[in-house]
Amino acid sequence: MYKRAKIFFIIFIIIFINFLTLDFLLIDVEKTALIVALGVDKIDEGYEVTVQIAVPEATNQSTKSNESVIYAKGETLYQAVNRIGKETGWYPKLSFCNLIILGSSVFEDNVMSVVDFFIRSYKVEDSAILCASEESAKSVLNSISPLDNISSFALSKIFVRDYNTASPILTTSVKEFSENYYSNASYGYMPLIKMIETEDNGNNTSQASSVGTQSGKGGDDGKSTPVVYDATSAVIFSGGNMVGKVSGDECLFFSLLDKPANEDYFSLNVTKSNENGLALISVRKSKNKVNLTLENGTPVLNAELKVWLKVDDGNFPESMKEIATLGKLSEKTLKDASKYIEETLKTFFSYVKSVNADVFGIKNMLYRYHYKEYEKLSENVFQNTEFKIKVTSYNYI
Amino acid sequence: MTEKISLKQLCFIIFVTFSVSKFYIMPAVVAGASAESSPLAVLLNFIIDFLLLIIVITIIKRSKSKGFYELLCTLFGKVGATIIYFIYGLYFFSKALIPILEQKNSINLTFYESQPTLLTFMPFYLVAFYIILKGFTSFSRSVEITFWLFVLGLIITFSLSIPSGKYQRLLPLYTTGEKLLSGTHSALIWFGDPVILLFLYEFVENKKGLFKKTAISFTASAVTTVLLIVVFYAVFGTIAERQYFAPLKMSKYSITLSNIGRLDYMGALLFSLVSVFSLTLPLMISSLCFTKIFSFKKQFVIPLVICVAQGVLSYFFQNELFPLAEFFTSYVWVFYSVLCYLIPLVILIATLIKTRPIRQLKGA
Repeated sequence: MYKRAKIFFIIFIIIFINFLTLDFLLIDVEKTALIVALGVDKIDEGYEVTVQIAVPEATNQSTKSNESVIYAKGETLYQAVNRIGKETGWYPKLSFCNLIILGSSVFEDNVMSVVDFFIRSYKVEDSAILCASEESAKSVLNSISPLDNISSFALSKIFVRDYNTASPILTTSVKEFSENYYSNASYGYMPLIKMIETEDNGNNTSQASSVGTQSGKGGDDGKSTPVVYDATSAVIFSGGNMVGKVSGDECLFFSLLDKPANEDYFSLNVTKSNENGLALISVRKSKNKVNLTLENGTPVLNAELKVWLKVDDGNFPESMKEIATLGKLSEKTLKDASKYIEETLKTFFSYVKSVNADVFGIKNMLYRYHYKEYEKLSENVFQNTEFKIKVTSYNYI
Repeated sequence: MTEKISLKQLCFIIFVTFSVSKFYIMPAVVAGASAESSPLAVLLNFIIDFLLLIIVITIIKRSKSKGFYELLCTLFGKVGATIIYFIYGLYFFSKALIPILEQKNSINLTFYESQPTLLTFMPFYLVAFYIILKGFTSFSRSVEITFWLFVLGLIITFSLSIPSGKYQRLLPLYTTGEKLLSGTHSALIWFGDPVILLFLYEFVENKKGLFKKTAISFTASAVTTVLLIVVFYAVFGTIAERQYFAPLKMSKYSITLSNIGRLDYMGALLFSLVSVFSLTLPLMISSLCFTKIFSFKKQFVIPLVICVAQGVLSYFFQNELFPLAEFFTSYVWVFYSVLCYLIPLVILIATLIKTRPIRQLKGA
């Protein structure tokens, strides 16, 4: 019995010593930099990484979040990220990084040379949202938003809001983007952030500080004026190279072919009492069906879209009866709406075809549903595909 | 004290340990070889293993011996039985290595930001040593309890991951035979589990309905694993090859739940807990094999040697999981296949010959 107790005592001592020496090497939270967003810009020396860090602070006065923005350069992305830890003494923890912004300079080359870091590294969660910036990623992360003290949180709200439903914001994650890139169609898209200056600085009480070798918030690369973000346009990719931009209704209707609608809006020219007006139409419900068929050896992409619409507003006076019918569309307006969606999607299809970005995944469909014909048709399948779209509009009321 | 396992507990052992050992890097390895045909490739592995289960159960039923060692003594003599036990001892010892390294890497990834020392994983060997010393009765009781934790882990993992999958990614399910067989081949080192029953049946109390019940639990294990592969490939598609440690990866894409925290870690933690027993089982059987061959006065010597040796091995290979897995899937599978499939077949034939009814000659 005594012998057994001695063995247990020795085991206890070993585990206890192990625990006391750096808590089993678990990282002290006070030395941890919780990176909430990461921006990448390409520079002459390689890459510049900008990270936004949420600083955990014990307080009983407010629930306000503080943040720091840190920059680091490196010949490779990994080197730059690694340097953050070395230069600040913090452990850069990327597990909470939910947003990755790629600056416009990154799109000069194949974007996968940057994105593949995030699927190769276990440090970053590949569920992080991936987006592009019209300017540098650094300027977006340095911007001041009236919406939230931390600019990336304000952005994340925009992207996460309609993640599972159709939206003009073509939200994508690292995983989805990579999956599409490595698929047979090798395509991709991501939302493009535009910063819109606003005079309203709201209740912004940001206490941001900057560490690193470059200017901080509101400096050369940051906006001193508060901004809001617009992400209703998107950049599209073919084989990892950026080949074009799409925006507004094109993004929304393309999204409707993939996801169900959830109160999306578009404007439509309507004629009323021989006068032209503009109506704001909301899409309340939708059903989609997309498939690829081979008609006499020619690939045909058949898209069918059913939308339930409602007039929410218009720049014309409406009678009480019209208001009372809760935005019911006339038969003609319904037809016009269907035609408008069809035309927009056809234009969109022609555009992506002209830049050879198979964002519909036609090559994937050929592989999945017509595997026997894949070898024969795959080479030019996207260029040879005919697009047939049928949109039917219904009154939501 | 005689060790005992009830038939119900044996079924739990089959369901839990046969499934969880295949959850970590096997889905990614198979996806690398078979892509969208991964579920079919793994299904083929299970069909082969089901045939092995039939062989094993037939051996058990036809054998009149108390245990497997006694049966081997009857068939091949004591020397033959000792050699076979020695080889199986080595087999189970080596079979534990890859899953232990998988678990170690998975824990490193889940709980640590930087590379922890080996000491962090050392408690596993202490627990394994303790479990081996306590024997199969305690082991089977523990597995009976962990079964419910395993089921809870499955519920969490599947409910979070099933909605995230795009199931058209699995099409076309079958492309070429070569692609299919390539996946089956690459997964072979994680299969061949029914051979374990040859070593356990001497402890099983009541063998009534042995085939029926083990077949049901084996099928449940196969369905669970194939379903995991289906969801895994539907979630990751073309990048599945890179997604090692499937339970940690596949269930984190639930947008709704990600806002309230990493609920998916609950599933991963439960699987890690269950894995303690699944990883110990081959070490236990290895210990059983060597105990039959080498008799030591102190019972703990062989389990201690096995746990220490495994600890030393995993220390040397702690950062070599993927090269080691590649080595095993490229070369060691031949050795494993002979032990898992060929030797049981030879034993079956020998048992059938030995136990065949002798026809009485007319007029004799």
